[in-house]
Amino acid sequence: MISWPLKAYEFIKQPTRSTRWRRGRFGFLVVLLAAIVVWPGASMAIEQKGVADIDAGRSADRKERNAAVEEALRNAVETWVAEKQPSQFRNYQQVKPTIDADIESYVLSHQVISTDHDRKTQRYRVVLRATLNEPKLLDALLAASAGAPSGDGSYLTFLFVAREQIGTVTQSEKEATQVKSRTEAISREREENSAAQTRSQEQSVTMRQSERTMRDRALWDVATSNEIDAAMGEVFTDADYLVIDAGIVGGASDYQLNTDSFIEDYRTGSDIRAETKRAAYQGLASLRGTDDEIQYLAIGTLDIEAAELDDKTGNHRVVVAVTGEVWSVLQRGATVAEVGPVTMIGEGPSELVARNNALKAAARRAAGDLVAKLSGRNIR
Amino acid sequence: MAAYGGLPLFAILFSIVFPLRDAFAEQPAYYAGLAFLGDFNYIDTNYPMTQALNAGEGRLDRALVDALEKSPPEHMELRYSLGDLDRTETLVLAVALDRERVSREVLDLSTGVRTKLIVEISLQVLLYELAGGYLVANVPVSAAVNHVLDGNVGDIDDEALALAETLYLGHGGTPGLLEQAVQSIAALEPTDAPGLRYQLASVGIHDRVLPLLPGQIDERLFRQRLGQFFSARLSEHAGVDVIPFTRGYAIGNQLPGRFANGEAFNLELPEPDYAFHVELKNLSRHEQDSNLVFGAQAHLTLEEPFTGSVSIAGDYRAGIFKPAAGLRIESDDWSAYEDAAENLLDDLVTQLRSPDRGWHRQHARVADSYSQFNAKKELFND
Repeated sequence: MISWPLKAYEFIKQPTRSTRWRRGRFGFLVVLLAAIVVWPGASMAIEQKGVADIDAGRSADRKERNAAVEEALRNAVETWVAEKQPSQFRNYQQVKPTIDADIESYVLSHQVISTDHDRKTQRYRVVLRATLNEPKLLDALLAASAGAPSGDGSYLTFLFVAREQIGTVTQSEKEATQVKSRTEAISREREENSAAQTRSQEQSVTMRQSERTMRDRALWDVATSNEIDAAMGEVFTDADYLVIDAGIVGGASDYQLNTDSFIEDYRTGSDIRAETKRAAYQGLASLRGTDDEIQYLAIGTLDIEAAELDDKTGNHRVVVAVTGEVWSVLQRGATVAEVGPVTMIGEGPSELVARNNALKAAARRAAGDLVAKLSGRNIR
Repeated sequence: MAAYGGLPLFAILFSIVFPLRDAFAEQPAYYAGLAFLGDFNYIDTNYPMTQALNAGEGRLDRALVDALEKSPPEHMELRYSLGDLDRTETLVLAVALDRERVSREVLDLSTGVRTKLIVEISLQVLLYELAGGYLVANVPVSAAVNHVLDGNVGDIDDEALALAETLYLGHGGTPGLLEQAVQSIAALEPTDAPGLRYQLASVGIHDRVLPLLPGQIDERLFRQRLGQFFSARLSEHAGVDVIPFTRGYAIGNQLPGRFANGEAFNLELPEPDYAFHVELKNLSRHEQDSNLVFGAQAHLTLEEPFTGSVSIAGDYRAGIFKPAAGLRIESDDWSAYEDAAENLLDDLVTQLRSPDRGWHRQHARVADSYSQFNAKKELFND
């Protein structure tokens, strides 16, 4: 074997960063202990960047730098509302002064990304990434509903049906027409002393064929779903609605609110039929003034697309589109909130996991947007 | 310091906190095994030898677990069970395959025609914060072996596979890659202070480079390879938290699979605080004396995506050489082109942490390149 000089390869590398254990003082240890005890779960915090640009003079002192950081935190919260919770913006405008006055209590931590002090313009700029306390912010936004009763909220029932494509019917149409044409040619020649007459006939038949191809018709399987019910129920309950199962309400309304009708409508069409909606409203309206009174009905549909394999991750991937609306039973069935269509995607190692992730994400999103819009109208 | 019954208050608190400090030091990490970096649909193209060696009973996986059980990590608890995202313990450890490369050249030597075969395998020991979406630590482990065959040998697949097995499992007392990975894991110390996050956000390949790509490598695959290489070097040399270039199979599927929560598969990569962009503008080859010189030119940008502020932007070039150009009957130019591109990226990452005026004078096409790097070097130094 002949050895050739090779580019040098390193077989073992030591990590370049050592553990940054802080050898703190006593006070820090106490803080650390407290932090460990009260550390929030990873799933409760979300991140948002913010920027602030303030007057700072020739050099930004500590007070000005801290003021810039606080302003950037406020900007982060406002950006989060505008980009991630647009349906809450009306609520945000009402509680903004409260949040701004105590901004640090709505932020779990922050990381300064960059600072810049422009001596010419005497402006100090800071860009940071804030970890926001989302549950606390959402609570503050929902509490913005003026006149909302403390403690018990309104009675609400919801009925969302999901349909999943299980096949297609291929359709095409062929038409054929037959065209006959006959040509007749007669010629005559006459010569001196002779006459000839010829006649020829020609008959031709041409076939004209056209083909019309229709888009494949989807076949749907429709059902309610425990994942949807659990996810939506959680959001509505957390927003202080008293959620009554549609099955219970259906019975009380003499089955005019009929889950089977919703399912059948969505299996065969693209929407819930007017008759079904009318019957549902009349059923709930009939409960007015009784112990079974329901103030709000939320209905909606979810379309579950066929799973695909994501060529990047190898995961199964399911797309779900959701629409929904809330009626006020006490106001003649007026629509007081609408959402969608909103598309959410779920991934997972199997179709089932991907589908459940997509359904939960879509249900939470739809319910969250409906709650935000209801809150914006002081409905709670 | 207050005293209480002769026992200082500090000691009481110390005895409460110190065990917690140990528990915190013993950060649990969930073991994800042998993983494959890059897109799922490129796995067969990228890693045929590893797949063949690990097929069936997972020979490489078993060898890795056996070695880890004999030499467990010193600074963290490695768990083989499933984790729970809601418990804030979301570190995952994987030995991720980064590259398999086989290079074949035919040379006309004084002793006759010979086929030179080089097999190279690169792994990355990844410690990944799944909920946060960034690399906590990244240690490369790679090795190569060369082999010479008599004559002009066309079909080298079996030989290459045997050499790959030697690289993984070791030979003649020399530890293999798996053993070396385990030694790296044993010494790995997880950081407890996440900082700024960086990402190579995009890789562009100029049109003039595309004709040089060999048949089995398309543009997207090449972009991923460069992206993975740069990200690994950034994490290793600059010591910063790096968001992977792409979710791919390892980050999007294999690592989340170590958690019992279905939502783990829905986690997206976060936005970086600072983003790099690389455009590979040219690859060149020319003879110089008796050597072949392979050069790479690239444009590098460093920006803050939230504000759009650009701190580094410039064109750079660097080259590598291969000796004894005249002896080659068949040359594997592609490996050399790739090495040239990676060498340039490696140099650029090194310059981020420790800019060198001489390097910039020689390799940068922008006059204030050194100043740009020098102004931002504190981002890459603790």
